[in-house]
Amino acid sequence: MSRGGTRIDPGFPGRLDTASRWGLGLVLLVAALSVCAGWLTPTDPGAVGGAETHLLAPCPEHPLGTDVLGRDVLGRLLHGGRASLAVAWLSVLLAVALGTTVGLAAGIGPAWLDRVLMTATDVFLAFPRIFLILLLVAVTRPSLLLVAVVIGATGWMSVARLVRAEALALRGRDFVLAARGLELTSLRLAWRHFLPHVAPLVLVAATLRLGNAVLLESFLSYLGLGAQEPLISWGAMIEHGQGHLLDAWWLTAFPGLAITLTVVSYNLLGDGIRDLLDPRVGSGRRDG
Amino acid sequence: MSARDLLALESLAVVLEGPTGPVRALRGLDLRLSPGEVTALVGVSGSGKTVTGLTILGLLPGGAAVSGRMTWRGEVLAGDSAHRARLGREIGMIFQDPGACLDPVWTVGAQLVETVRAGGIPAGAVAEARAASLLEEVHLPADLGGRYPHQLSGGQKQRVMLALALAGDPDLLIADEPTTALDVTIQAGVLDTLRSVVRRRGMAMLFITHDLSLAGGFADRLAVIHEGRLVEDGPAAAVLDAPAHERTRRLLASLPENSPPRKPSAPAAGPPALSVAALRVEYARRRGLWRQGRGVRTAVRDVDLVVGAGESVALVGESGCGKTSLALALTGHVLRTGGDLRLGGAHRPPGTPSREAQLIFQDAGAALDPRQTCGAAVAEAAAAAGDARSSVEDFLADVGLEPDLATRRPHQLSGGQRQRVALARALAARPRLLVADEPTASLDVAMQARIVELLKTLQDDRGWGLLWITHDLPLARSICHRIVVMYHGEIVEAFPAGARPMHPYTRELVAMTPVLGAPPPVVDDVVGADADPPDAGCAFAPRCRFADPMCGRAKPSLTEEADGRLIRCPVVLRNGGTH
Repeated sequence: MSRGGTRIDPGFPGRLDTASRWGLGLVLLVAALSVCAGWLTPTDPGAVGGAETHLLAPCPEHPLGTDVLGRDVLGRLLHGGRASLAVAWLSVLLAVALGTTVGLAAGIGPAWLDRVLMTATDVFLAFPRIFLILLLVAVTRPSLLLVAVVIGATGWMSVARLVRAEALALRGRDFVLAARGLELTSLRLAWRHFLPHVAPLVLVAATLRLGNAVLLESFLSYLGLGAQEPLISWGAMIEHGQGHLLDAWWLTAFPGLAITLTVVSYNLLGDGIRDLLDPRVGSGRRDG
Repeated sequence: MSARDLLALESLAVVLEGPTGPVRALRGLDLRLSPGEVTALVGVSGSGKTVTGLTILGLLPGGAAVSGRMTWRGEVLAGDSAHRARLGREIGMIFQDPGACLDPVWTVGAQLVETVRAGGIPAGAVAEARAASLLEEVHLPADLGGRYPHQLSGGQKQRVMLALALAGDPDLLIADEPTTALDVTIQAGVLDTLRSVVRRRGMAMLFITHDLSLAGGFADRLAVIHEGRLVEDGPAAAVLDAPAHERTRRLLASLPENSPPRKPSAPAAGPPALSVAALRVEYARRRGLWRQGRGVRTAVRDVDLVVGAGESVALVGESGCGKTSLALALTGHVLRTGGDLRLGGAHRPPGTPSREAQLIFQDAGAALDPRQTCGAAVAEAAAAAGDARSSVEDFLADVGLEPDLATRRPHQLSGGQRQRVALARALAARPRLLVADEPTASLDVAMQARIVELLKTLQDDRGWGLLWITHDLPLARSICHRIVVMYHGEIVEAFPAGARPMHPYTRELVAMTPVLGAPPPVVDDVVGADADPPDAGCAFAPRCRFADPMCGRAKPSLTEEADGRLIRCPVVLRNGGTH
């Protein structure tokens, strides 16, 4: 218990720094382009062109060129973004929901529950994630939904640890003691007095994980375990284009660029939100 | 200005950048400090007393606008970084929280030597000798230099801070509430040291405090500050005898020692709000490199306590005596390891918080959820008590708050308002017992007096029992019907608020408490409250000035005297109640 004195308001409304505003802009742009892919590219991205349209270099009709079957790379990129982002968002939502639940239960509940849940978390962490994903996807029919679920179900551990650590710190705070003194149920206590405090942390973790999930999905699709024809994702586009790495660079360069930009923008945004919500771990350059 | 003045502030005005716009912290302050004189700057929170100290040091935050004149030995100061560099060695400063100012990874001696070297003394034997002499000057043993800050008690840390402040041989010492966080016995010792250092060195001192009784006994001159300007400035005795300004009179009136002890309450019908028998709280203690050794530290040792409905009982003792552990065990937040606890006659299992025993915390800012509005906090408590009829506005009105506060969050309120919201929440839970852990310690005297009045009125009306935990005896007497004194986890004395304390420990607490108009207490070398008690005999014996060889043999028991007083002291009992 500390004595008086002014403290910094935890919800202090600050501003994102320049880098994270660029990140936010790119995140919104990529999301908007993917959602509006159908209107932006009137031609069907799966439409196969005649022999004269195969492997065209970037030109006025096809700004990013065409692939081996004469399909427009720009149109496929926009449609591919849909799949990549959908998988990323779905998997992160799942990971965050699982991680927050496990973390709060471990942090608020009795000591034995904490021990059980954290041991489980450690076991999951110790398991080689890529191997698990490959195994699961390989023994079943590959689908994007499965990829999202698998990425999410293997990515909740760090969120759980983060939330548990914060919940343990909150446990000893006076206002939590006061709430316990009202004989609130554990569920209510978690919802009313813990969740509002861990939510900002979870938001930051989720944003940072989104970039990671985009990468992971591309990786799986590249291995042919993700999006299957006629669905496309950025990873699948790279896989299709790798045979023409030297003679048709646009087949791999543009999806690669899209992945890189998306990952970087999510990371910039996540860093920015973190600095905004928690001045203590910020860049430390706030007041010189 | 006279030639004697060391520092003169003339119509000093400071405007700070606040979250909602500029704040006029000082509005034309005139103050003169002379060598060899202790000036106390007294005021309620927000009166500008801390800003005054920071302005003198040139430590105001960026964006602060200073106007007026500051002269140091006749030389005009600019109030900028040049000013700070100029005065760094001529003004020493000590703060309220010494722990925050010491680096935890260096020994106290190393930090002293570093400060001495900053004054131009080369490293080596000379600097070390200087550091040792500084420790001696602040009444610390020389071997303390080898210890780390966490190994020191609060009083020792504050003395180390004083030694650090003295390292540059300053001409002016500014002390901002240096003893507010300390127990009365430790406070008396630190103040004694401060006084002797200032007298011997002939320094000027600015003593910033909200405690008029403390200032009155310590300072030569009293300067009362209100809303950024001095309303009274004169010799301490003259100001206290005949306060000229309304503000000074109000400060005096709000001192707890100026309110009469609370009258005994009529015994209420029905079961007592709280009754505990043989309550124990023990914490597991692991020792050794691999924490392989097991031990038990007993924080509360077989405490019997009854608080009637409508009764107020004060629990008094120094930090570490177990009073907070007892409070947490009574409210079910800490597992009691023994004893029976009843609230309103009903048995309560250990380690489960009960709505019927509500805690009021020392720091109301921490006790309210920062992400919850005040109205939601109160409504939650009312819902927990199954109360659907009363409105949040009613509960806020009970504690003297406007209904529109319901939509605000704790950080938008003042300290006094926060404590009222915390009280409204506790009362909305319809408790039988309120356990208040120094709820007014972070408030100034005026606010404290208002909260205390409010509590008394509400209690007379509602009839819950109140257990008020404090180390402030005069305050305890003004609120409570009965006073229970704890030492090392045991009750050593329990007596009516109007009666005279008999136990040597209680008498020491009384003697060390600064009282208005009385000379400062004479301080012997007090054995710290943090020293482990002896294995056999009376726990207080090593500190007791009346102890005789008998005291070290058998553990004294709590005995009831003819007047109903409970006392655990063989000497008092042997001498028939007198020393």
